[in-house]
Amino acid sequence: MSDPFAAGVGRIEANLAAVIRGKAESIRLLLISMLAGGHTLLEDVPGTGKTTLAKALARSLDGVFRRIQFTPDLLPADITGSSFYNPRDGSFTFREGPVFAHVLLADEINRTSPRTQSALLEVMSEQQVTIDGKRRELPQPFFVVATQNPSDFHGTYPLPEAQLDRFTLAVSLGYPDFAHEVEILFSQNDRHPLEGIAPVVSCADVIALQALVRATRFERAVAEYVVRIVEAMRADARLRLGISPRGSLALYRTAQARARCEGRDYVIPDDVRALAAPVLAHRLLLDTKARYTGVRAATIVEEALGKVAVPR
Amino acid sequence: MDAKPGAVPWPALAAALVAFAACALLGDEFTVMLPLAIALIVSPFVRFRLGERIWSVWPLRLGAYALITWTNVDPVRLVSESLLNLPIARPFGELCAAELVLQCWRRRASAGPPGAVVVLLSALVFQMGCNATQTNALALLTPAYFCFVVLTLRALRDRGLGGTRQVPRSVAVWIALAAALLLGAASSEALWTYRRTLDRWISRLDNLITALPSRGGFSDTPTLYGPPPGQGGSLERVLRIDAPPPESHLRGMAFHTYLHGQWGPNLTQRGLAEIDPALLRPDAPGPRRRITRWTTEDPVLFLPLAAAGIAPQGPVRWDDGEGATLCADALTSESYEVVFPATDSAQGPLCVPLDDAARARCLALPDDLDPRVRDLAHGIADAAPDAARKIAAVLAHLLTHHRYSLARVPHEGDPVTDFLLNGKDGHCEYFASAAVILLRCVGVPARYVGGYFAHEPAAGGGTIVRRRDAHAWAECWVDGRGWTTVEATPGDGRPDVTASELTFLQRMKENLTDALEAAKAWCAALDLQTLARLAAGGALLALAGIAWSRRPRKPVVASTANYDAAAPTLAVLASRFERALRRAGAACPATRTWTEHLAGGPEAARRFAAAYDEARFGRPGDVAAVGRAAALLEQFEQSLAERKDR
Repeated sequence: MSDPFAAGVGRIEANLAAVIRGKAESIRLLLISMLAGGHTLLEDVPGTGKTTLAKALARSLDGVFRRIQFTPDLLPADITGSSFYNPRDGSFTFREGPVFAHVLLADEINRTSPRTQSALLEVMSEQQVTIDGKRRELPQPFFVVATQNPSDFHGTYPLPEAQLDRFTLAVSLGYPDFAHEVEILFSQNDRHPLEGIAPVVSCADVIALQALVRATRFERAVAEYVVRIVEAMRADARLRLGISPRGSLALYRTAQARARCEGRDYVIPDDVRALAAPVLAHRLLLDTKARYTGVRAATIVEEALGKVAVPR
Repeated sequence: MDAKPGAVPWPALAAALVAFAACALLGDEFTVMLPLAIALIVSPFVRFRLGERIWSVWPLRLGAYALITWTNVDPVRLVSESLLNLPIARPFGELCAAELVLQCWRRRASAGPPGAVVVLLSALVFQMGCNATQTNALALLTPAYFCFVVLTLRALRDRGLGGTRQVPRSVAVWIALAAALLLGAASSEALWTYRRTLDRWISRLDNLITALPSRGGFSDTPTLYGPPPGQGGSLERVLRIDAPPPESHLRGMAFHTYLHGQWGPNLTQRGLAEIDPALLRPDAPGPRRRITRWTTEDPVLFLPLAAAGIAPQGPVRWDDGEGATLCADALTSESYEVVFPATDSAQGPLCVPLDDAARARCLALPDDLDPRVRDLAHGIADAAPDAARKIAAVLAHLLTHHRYSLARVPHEGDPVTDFLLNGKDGHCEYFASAAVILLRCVGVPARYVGGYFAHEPAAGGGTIVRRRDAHAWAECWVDGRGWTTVEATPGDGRPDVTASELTFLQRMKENLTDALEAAKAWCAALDLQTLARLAAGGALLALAGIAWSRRPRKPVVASTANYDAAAPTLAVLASRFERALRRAGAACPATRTWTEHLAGGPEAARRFAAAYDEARFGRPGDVAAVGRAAALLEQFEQSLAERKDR
């Protein structure tokens, strides 16, 4: 890895690895998403460490961390903030909502109504909030980590396509392997590993890392490769909704981030292939027949990769 | 057992095919069950599906219903045969089968499979088959059918029966089974109760297509009180001649006794005797034609009067005294050969010379014949010096004083007398009868003949004779010459003039029936060894088809030609590397990167791949990067060569 980049990313990874055992790849994906300036959706069954990972990431930065526990009675104003009438001087005072943070943990995001979920649309795509006609910028860097349990349907509201499209990638942690799970048992004997996490990078460092990522060379042939993969999926008859240009852009940015993490200042097709499924799969909307015949979105991505020739 | 939701479970298809077989056993005529079964078998292997919306299926549905209706209905048979045959059962079964096939070919929006619909429709089809036929094959088909139905319900148990309502599995299974059985029983009961009404409706529908209501054709009891023999006759084929015959008049029976508008004797009143086949001169020289009988209902062989020789397939009987009618056993004489005469005046086996008794019969007149008819005959023909001229005179009189008409004109008294004396119009029977009576009045032995007039060319050559071609004419004995055919009907009344063209549907129906008969005959002619070979070949083909349909399909790979091209030097390196990989037996697919493909592979190859990526995607135009890649490629190629030497 290039020196400043490697040092910063290495410190964050080490912090996160101390808390989440045996999930190096998931940690790397989370970091890639952050470095690409995007947001991450952590999907997994309960108790696998989704919230812990998000908290660990937040604590690794010296920025502001906020957590929103999404419940069915949550209102949009509870997320973005609202204006309060001050009877003393007869003025309205804006009270910032939890989105005004550097790292926002949206826990169990699918437990709130679509109306409240949509409050995050502008937040995630434009990193600003418009309230009472006034636009308020969010602090930089701004990073949303959302969690949801994909197997629980009682009292949940599936995320709309517009919301899903705003997550740069979706990560599934999965259960730890045997050895690491034993380590987890012992690691929490005295105290939770989270309590030992200290900030290792500053917000300015993160911004600099993101700038380095954007400066990563992206050859035209590889960009065409990205678009061909996306086009191959759009042509798939099993999909009701294909990949949007936002998805292509997400793949572009995350490929740059991965290239940097691998120590390169240029993107190669392997970066695109490695990130295709995490970045694109959650954006696909399968039709009814495909869903009921057991077709998975990741399978469609793999098939698209198998149909598109790699640039040489 | 599990099938894809949306696809028909295989037990349901098997049950449907068993039901089709049961329904196809109803008759041995052409049935649409075979093409429907083929369409059903093919459906799982073909991705194409008909539209989801019901309106796009309707043209196919209506077309199938029309095809089924006119291939099944023969209105005359509905009246003449026992109703236990339930001729409407097969059409209904075929309608359900067609609907079943359409459901299997429709694209379905819901996740529910069409399996439940297939079960219900197949139950109806099977019910129709069981209801109308009594055959031992049902003892095998019935348990097979119910086995497949149970297996189908088991397959559907896990996936539900479709639709949008949540129904408990066990309840849904029993509901489906009960509904299938109840529907089948109810439909059968309804068909039996309203069979006459349905018969009438189907007859009317068929009349719209065939446009010919009655059967008609040759009769062994010709009467002037009935409809004309040919007109109103159906298109049912009677004879096929393998080549155009030199003589169109094919006589069936000759009648000599006329009484009150009716000619006799009929076939049962004649004493038929076995004839020595040699007397029929089967080896006589002359143009030969093979006549095939389409229907074996008439035992009479239709032959030209002056046939030089006749070669039937089996034993024949004849009445040499009553007009030389030949009758054959229905089962053994499906075809017979006829040697046509070389000259018009030739006398063949059918031209039995007159003895005194036969002469008397051929000159006999009714006792109550109006004397004015005799006067008329004498007035026409007395001036003629010989029999031939008398015949010509009588024909000329008939042609000039009477017109051909199919309209049944009411008459008083004897029809022929009324026809002759009152200048009435009439059809061929009137003209033939009048000619015979007039000629007998002037002493020319004559007899009335019923048969067919062959005129219609058949597809593929030959001549087809239909029931509508039935005709009547006269035969006269001319001393010194023998028997001769006398056509008394005006030209515009002959069947070749009055016959209309077949409609497209009628031709299609005949072609399909012929194809089925040819296939049956071909199958019947097969010996066991050939059948076994065909079965084995069919099984192999089926296996090959299944294997081909399950073949792993190579994805269509987008070409690399459309990418922003690499520098020529890099392109050369890439080609060399790929050639080297191929030589090493590790060709890299176009859809994989080298790094991915070579994971765990030779170090030299992986290093080159990384260097190439750097030169191609990281440092385009950097000569040093290209140089590094080239050097690493040479190292790799060297290592390959060394390995090969070892």
